[in-house]
Amino acid sequence: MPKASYSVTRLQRHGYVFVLPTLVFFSVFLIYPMLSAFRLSLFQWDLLTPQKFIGLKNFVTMVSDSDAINSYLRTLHFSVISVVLINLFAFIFAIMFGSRLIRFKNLLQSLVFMPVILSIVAVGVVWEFMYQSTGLISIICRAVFGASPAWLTSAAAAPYAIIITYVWKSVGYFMVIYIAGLLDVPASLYEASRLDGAGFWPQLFYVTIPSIKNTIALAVISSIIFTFGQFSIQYVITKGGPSRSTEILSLLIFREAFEFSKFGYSAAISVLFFLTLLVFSIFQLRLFRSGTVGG
Amino acid sequence: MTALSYRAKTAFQAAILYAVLIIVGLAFVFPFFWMAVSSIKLNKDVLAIPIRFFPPVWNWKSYVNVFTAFPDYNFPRFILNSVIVTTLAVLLCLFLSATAGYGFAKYRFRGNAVLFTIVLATIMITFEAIVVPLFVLVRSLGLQNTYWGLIIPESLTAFGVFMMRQFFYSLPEDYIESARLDGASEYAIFARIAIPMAKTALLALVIFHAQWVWNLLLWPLITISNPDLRVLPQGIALFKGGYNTPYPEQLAVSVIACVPLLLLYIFLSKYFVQGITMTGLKG
Amino acid sequence: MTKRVFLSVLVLLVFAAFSWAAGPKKVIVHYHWTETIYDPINLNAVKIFEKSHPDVEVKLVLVPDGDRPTIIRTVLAANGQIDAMSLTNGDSPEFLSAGQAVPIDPKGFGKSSVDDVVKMWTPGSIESCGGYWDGKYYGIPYEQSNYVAWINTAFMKEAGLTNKDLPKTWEDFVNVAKKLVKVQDGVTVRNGFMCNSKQGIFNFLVISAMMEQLGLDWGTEKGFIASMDQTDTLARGLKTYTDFVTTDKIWDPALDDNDREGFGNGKSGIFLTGGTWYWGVLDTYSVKRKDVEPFAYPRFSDGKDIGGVGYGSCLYVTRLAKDPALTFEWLDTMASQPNAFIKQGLHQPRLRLSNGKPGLDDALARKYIPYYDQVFKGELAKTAVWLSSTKTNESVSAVWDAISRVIYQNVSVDDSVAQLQKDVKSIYQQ
Repeated sequence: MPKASYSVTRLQRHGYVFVLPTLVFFSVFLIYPMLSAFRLSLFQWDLLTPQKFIGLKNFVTMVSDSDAINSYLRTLHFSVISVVLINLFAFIFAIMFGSRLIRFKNLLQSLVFMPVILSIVAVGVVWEFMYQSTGLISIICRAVFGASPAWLTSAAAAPYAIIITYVWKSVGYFMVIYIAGLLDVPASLYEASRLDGAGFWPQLFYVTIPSIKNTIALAVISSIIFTFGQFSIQYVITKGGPSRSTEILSLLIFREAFEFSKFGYSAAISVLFFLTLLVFSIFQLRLFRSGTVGG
Repeated sequence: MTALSYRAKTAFQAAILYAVLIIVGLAFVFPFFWMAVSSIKLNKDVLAIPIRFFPPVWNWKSYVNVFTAFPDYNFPRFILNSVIVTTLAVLLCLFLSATAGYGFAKYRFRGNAVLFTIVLATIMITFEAIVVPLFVLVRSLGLQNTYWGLIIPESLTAFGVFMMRQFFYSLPEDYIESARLDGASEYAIFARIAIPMAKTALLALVIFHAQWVWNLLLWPLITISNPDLRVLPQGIALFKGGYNTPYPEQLAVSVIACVPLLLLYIFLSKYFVQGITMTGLKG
Repeated sequence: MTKRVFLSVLVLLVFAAFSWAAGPKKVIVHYHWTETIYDPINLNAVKIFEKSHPDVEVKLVLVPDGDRPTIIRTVLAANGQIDAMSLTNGDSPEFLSAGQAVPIDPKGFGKSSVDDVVKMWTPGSIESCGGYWDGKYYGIPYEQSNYVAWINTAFMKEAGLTNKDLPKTWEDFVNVAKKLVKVQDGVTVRNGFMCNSKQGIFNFLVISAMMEQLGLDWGTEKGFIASMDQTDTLARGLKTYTDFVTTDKIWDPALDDNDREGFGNGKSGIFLTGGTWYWGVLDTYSVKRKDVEPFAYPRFSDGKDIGGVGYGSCLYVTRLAKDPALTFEWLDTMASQPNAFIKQGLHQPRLRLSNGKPGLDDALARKYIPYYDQVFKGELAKTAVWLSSTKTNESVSAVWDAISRVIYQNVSVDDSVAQLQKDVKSIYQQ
């Protein structure tokens, strides 16, 4: 009864007030530069001479540019595999590390999270050494499997070397998200299901996973967006090589702009990048339909 | 199932879990360990083959060198700058993410979905693509070479908004409704009820954002030319000379750079250690 | 409550930082690259200049070399604070052709004409170092180097070779390198020869020398484009280089990605991207100076007498400089310590300082640079030319792609050359 009298307009107003600071900051410092960058895709600019309007020419070039196509495919390959591995491991670790049978939870979780806080330069130095033909990983591979691929110097193996390093560095991050999500599942739900006689696996599938639907949505969508935009690992370890086999889209965007001074073309590629993610995210958000506003 | 075989089964499960987790833990931390050990080797031993894990000659001087041997690299100052920038950027991020996340999650207003998609869209563009327009903007606002020129852009992340929105979704309406019935203002509800309940999410956001800002290199590299305002990642990157890279010193600085974040994580993670409440693992 | 106090203290610190940053003096901002062994010398120049100009503050902004062009370009584009910049002769065409630098002002050197300024450096050095463009002089040389070949004599002795066996042709080179390879349990632990396996520019410079030896003009933009019609020659050059990895097996890229480090740590018998400065760098690695000998680049038995690539870097005053004459004064000071640099092996071609005193002391050069007369000086007169084009980076990338395809993806040399021709065509079309 009291609900109806103050509800709609007052709640709406407060909604706007709450999101206002974010909208202001984002508009000035993110959206405006973004639109600037999109506009740039219609120009040819090397930063040092005046901008030259060329319409959609950049996009036409991009369609037949084998390097751009290669980049796009490499990005899909890298993203799909990484996202699957990261979410799988992060979820498994979150459950395992949270188990009541384990002590030293804090220590173990910290170990998995440590790669996240390492600077990317340090990660690059360390893993590069490990992947060399006389490095630790190659030694272990030869000991276990008898042979080791040329991790960073063969176009076939390098993408996987990068995936391994990236998954290593990122799992801890998403594990924390899953842990935080799992913590919020009310114990009462588990009690209830246990009283119904449910064992571990049924509980996992019928209680846990549905309860953390929001968390899964957050983790999966974020991991896809972050992975798609991943740049520093490839930049530091392989610089997109060998032979452009690890040159994902964000690296190509960077190279076209900062190495070749083709800022207009680079902006065009980033438009393509953006549209891909946008379409994908809208689709995803609908799929997960994370509850309606107001519960 | 008898009591004895039940205990045995539990012990067995525990043992398996421990074994797996210890291997996993070691695999994850090993590269960090290698880095720390290599930072006290001599430059030539870092790269030598066959790989020597422990330093044949212990070179503690590399840590001393970091602070004394490079007159232009004022590392204590870099660390201070990083601390200032990271702290303020994280606080601003928390404020923006919590308010926007709450607003999007709990209020029905026209344009909610559209505005949220626009906010989310900002992480769909790689930072490298907006670096140049952003720099031109920052410069025209007079923020080039200032702390705020770093803090403001580095505090903005749609991920934070996204995360807080997801968590606020799961906040039961009952608490809020009853507070409203008691006559509390929306802001009071936000501050006294919603925020404390979202504690785990906020702390997770602190860790995530802190480690991102702390390790950010590209933006400070372009915005900050004043050596007094340099942040730590710029300092680490400076070691990579065109002709020669002193690895022990670079690794030593990288180790030092990890420490604050590690402390932050250890301090905050005791909130995560409660573990999950699944009782089904008993089998 | 404590959080609020903490926050206010921080905000106060920040505002305090604002006032520290502001200063009453004239400021010169100079973007230069960092190199731990040379930085102290440059910082000393700052001290010297500030002492004689008490109302001026010089901010020498040292940045990692790889990021330097990017940062300079960005600051220029945003009309930021940048009075002086340092560019290599590979970078400079792009900047000079876009009017980003100011021509030399003799007033900054206390001279009356540009000619008098140019005469202070060895003839032709400003051009070789990239400071000359379209009829005007813009930059003063900071470094002039050329690549020669380097070999580890201890490994040679191990393989039963002597000084007489230093390779003169590329065939000799391969034969010698094969003897220096060391394999343990099926893994190469020492390369006969190696180059940088990650960064294309070094490979480009080596293969550039080969191509020029074969008669192609890879030093000018026009020559580079024209050379794309010489399919057979291109294939021969590419094959000679990529064979090192694929058929001769003297170079395993997976062993180490950095040739200067690899050679210095005994992971390679030979490398081809070192100049006089390498002596100073070698001292930080495990291989000793006495076990190393530089020698002239091998030639093709039927090719031109051209050595390794010559390159250099210059200091420039940017178009955004607030006081160009004063900035040139600063650059003059920075380039006035050739004898301090030569001790580290860095060669600055300065004949005379502005105050009339002599510049680089040749005797010092001989003292601190082993084999200076025998190898470096001679080769300096016959260097291959680093491509001077506004699209250098793209061209380098295309050539590196051509090499990479063969050594990392097992594409055939002929197919790779065909792709290279296509790539270069589309680069220079726009």
